[in-house]
Amino acid sequence: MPRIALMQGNEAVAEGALAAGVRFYAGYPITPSSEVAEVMARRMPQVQGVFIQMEDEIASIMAIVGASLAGKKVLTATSGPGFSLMQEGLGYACMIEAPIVILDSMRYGPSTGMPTKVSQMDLMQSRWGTHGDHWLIVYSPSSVQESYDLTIRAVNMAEKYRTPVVILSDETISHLREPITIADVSPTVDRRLPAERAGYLPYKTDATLVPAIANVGTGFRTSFTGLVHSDTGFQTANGHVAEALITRLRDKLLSKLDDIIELEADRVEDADITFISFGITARGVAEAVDVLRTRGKKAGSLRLVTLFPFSDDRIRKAAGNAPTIVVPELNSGQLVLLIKRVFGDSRRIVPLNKVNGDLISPADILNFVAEEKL
Amino acid sequence: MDNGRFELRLTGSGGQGLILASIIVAEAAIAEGKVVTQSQVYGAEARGGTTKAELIISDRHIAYPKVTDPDLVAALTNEGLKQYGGGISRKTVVVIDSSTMALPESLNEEACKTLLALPIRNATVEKLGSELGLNVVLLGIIQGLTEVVSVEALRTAVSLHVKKQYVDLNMRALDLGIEMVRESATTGIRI
Repeated sequence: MPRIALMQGNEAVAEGALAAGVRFYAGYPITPSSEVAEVMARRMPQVQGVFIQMEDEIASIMAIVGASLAGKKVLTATSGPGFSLMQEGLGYACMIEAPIVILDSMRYGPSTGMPTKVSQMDLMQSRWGTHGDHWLIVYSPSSVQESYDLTIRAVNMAEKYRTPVVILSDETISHLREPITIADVSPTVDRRLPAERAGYLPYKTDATLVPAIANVGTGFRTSFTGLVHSDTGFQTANGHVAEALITRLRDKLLSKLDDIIELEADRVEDADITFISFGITARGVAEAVDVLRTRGKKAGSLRLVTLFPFSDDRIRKAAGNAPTIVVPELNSGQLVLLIKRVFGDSRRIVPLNKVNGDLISPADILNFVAEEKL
Repeated sequence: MDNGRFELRLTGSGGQGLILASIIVAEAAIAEGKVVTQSQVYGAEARGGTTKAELIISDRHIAYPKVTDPDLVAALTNEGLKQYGGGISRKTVVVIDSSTMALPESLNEEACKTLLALPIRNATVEKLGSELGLNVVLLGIIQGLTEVVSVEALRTAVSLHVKKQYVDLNMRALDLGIEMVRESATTGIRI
């Protein structure tokens, strides 16, 4: 029987990870993500898993990368300042194709900013925080239930595509308590492993574009390096090999967008004004759209559950035909840049930003619509 | 409940158990098939700072999860009411602890539906022997005033959060709160 439990967003991430089979957690506590570590410290020993409090965030991400290569499903949780430190390890995980999941619970930045205040200021960091051409998946929960469900999905996607997955949450969702439904058993995905030692090449791929890399310690000869590497896993400076590798890392995700991308459209079909948002901000939008509809204003909403990969085509199709698109976000304008790219001059794109550490409330949105005469 | 939706805000001093109180009401409401969102002010203070807990109970999905239009505001300190008294309107019932708070000048007949001043702390100390249980007395008051959750559901939810040896004390605390509301027609100060 599925059960209903009152849970905080951070607890839901920890419990979702456990349900998905995560048995290794390494992290360094930071507001507003610390409850994830707190729950994991208590729960991991109960499931014969490992919890380690590391000396910092660089060590934390390296620890989960190592445990992942040894075959564990892994999680770490942090916030902006720690996420900045993790960027080096995140790029390494992209390059060596280590399945890892990172929760970034966004707080106000830059730097240490306002630790207890909500923001959505790490949007671009989640995509481009580490250097070089790299590809990863970023999910954005907007409820406690979704914190649970998307964490399970993040772990499964990390395993399936051998990629880092970021859960980009925020202070409000992290600390919000809501009832959630927990299934007895959740669908889990295990990484593909090589069948035979003979002729084994760790980075040799087939049509899936996802290599079947052996777990460390299982008798296969495997090499991992952040340097460009051939099928053998050893470094090379061959331009053709480099191009093929970087292209494959891109295509292994971009060829699976049906599986990866989730967008939630609400009443966009006949809308004159459509809001495009993500995370906690979408909750204020949902209420504002209801109110606008009762006032006879045709409003709609498109919520980005998957933030990256960012599919211009899919967003264009899902957003409907509203001539005006409003992009509310808790930063000075990050998502709006991408939305402008998607629609060019074909629509009026209006940013709605708030950077005082409070949420964008339904009243904020209604006032904005009135003031801007939208 | 107005339109199947009830918004509650509790404010006071860190350590009084207001966040736990809001969680207990939330659990009682869930047991009765309602949807809830519970949140709290989040700061660096551990104890003694001004605190706030919020709860929305609804028959339907709750979009925006924070309290914007409270049906009930209960304040245990002046500072709490000052900092977190926003959104009080003609629909709001305001409860204050007259043992520790002066009647706020800002709240008159125009500003809220009812202002109820009850000696919450003094009654708790007098009837239960100490301040422990203050938050559960407040739960009784909320139940008595609103019946937003049933007494039975509240008893069960409280029991889940206290050790066996303290269940009886907490049930008495709950009853005390309910009784205070019942008697408030004569003892409480209403506007």
